Amino acid sequence: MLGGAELPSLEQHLPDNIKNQVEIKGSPCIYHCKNTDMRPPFVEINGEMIEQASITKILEYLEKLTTNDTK
Amino acid sequence: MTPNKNNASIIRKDLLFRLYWQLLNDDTANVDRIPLIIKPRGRDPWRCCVYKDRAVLKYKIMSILGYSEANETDELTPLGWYAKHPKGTSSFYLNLIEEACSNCPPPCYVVTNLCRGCEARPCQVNCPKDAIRFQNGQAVINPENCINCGKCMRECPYNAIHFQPRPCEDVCPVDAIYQNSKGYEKIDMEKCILCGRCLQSCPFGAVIPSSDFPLVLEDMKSETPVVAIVAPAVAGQFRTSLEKIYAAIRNIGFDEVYEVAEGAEKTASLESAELLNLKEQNEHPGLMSSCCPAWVNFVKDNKPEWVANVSETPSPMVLTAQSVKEKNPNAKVVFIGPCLAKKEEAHSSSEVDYAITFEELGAVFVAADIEVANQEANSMGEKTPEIGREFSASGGVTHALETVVGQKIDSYIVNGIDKISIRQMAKAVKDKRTDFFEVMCCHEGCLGGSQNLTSANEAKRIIKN
Repeated sequence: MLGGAELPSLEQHLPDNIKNQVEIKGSPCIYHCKNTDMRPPFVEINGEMIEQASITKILEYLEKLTTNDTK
Repeated sequence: MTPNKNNASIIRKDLLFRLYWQLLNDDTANVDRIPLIIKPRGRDPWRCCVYKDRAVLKYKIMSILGYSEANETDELTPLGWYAKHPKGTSSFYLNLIEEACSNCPPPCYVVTNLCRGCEARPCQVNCPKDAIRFQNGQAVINPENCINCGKCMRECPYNAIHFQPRPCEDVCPVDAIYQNSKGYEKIDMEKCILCGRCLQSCPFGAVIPSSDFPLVLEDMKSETPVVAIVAPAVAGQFRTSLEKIYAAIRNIGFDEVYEVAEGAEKTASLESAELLNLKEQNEHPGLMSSCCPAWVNFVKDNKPEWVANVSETPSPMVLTAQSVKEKNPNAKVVFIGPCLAKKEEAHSSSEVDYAITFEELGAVFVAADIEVANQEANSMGEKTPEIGREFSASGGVTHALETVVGQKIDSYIVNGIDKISIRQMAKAVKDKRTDFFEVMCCHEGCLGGSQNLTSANEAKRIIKN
């Protein structure tokens, strides 16, 4: 509804090196639109809210997380 | 037309859901806060400043409520007042907000910095109007001489020349949108067929449709029974079963929900009878489908000589509404579908009271915290209208007719209206060898409707699964 239609296909875009480290949970609405002035669509990763989420933005964030983990 | 994923379309839906949320909570005073919530101080502006953004957001909300900024008499009238007195589609179906329009320059070819001022200069050599000169080692197009033929763009080996369109004018299939003397776009509603392409293509989100939902909500709060009739294309809008979608619609506050696919089966049956009658004549011009209201509008305004060829069978929406009103004459009937043109068809029909779009439906679900996938599936009607459900896709009407008559029909399918497809269809009409013309204004039929939540491809995938 608010720009997140492509997000369910995230799993197909995960690169092999992080595929096994990510668990994706579907949540059609996380009731964030009504409660903050952040912009939709939203994705929550390890408790961190990402606004205006896109596949690219999520992948960048995950890459950063996994790089930090391996350091 | 497939709905675009862009900021303008997200904002339109954001405005709808926030407005409906306040209306559902009877909190019209807070409608005035919506522009501030969407564009708080400190956020990067889309236009010159956040204050201009807020003013445009205000006019968009007014448009949704059926008020045009052009008729605004007092700029201090709060949005809350408009929200308390919604007009729905009674004043207009589409509003082009002047303040939001960016006064796009005239459509023209532009030489970019990629131009290397080569020796070959095919742009200059092949220009039929001698409109290209070279200055400082780069091509320059003289707009006085240029006729926008595009030859220079096609000839350039560096792709250095490109066409800069006015997006809204570029996509309009009937030339209904034009720039007025002040430099703002205007929609000529006499010509407009309500295909919704300008709304999807305007990068500044200047075209906004009005919404009947605030009026539907007022009826829901009264004793009047309110019945939803839902277009078959809904099957591709949410990634869940039809049963759950219907349960979610009922939970908004509708007393009953019916599939328009049921009316579509009647349409198929009546249209088949019309076709068989026509085929008894030795030579006939062919029967043209009548279920797409934008197509019917197109014929009336642009091809009056074809009006007699359009089927007299009422659309599935009207036939479904007729059967609802027969059972429950006092009910208010609300059509829910993928299309703006249906709003006009609903207005001119005595059976349908309101028409809302899937975009509006999605916004209501968000506003009312209705999670479609989590609904308890309701049982549907005893008979599944399989043939009627096919009406949502291009080719579906023809297939439905073939199923009814039990044989292959000599048909011609127009999958999306544009100047080329209509020119080709005109040839087929002239040849008089086609029995049935199925025409859908949108590419991929109703699955590609301008007010859908998913793209046509995604909708097809959802239905297939």
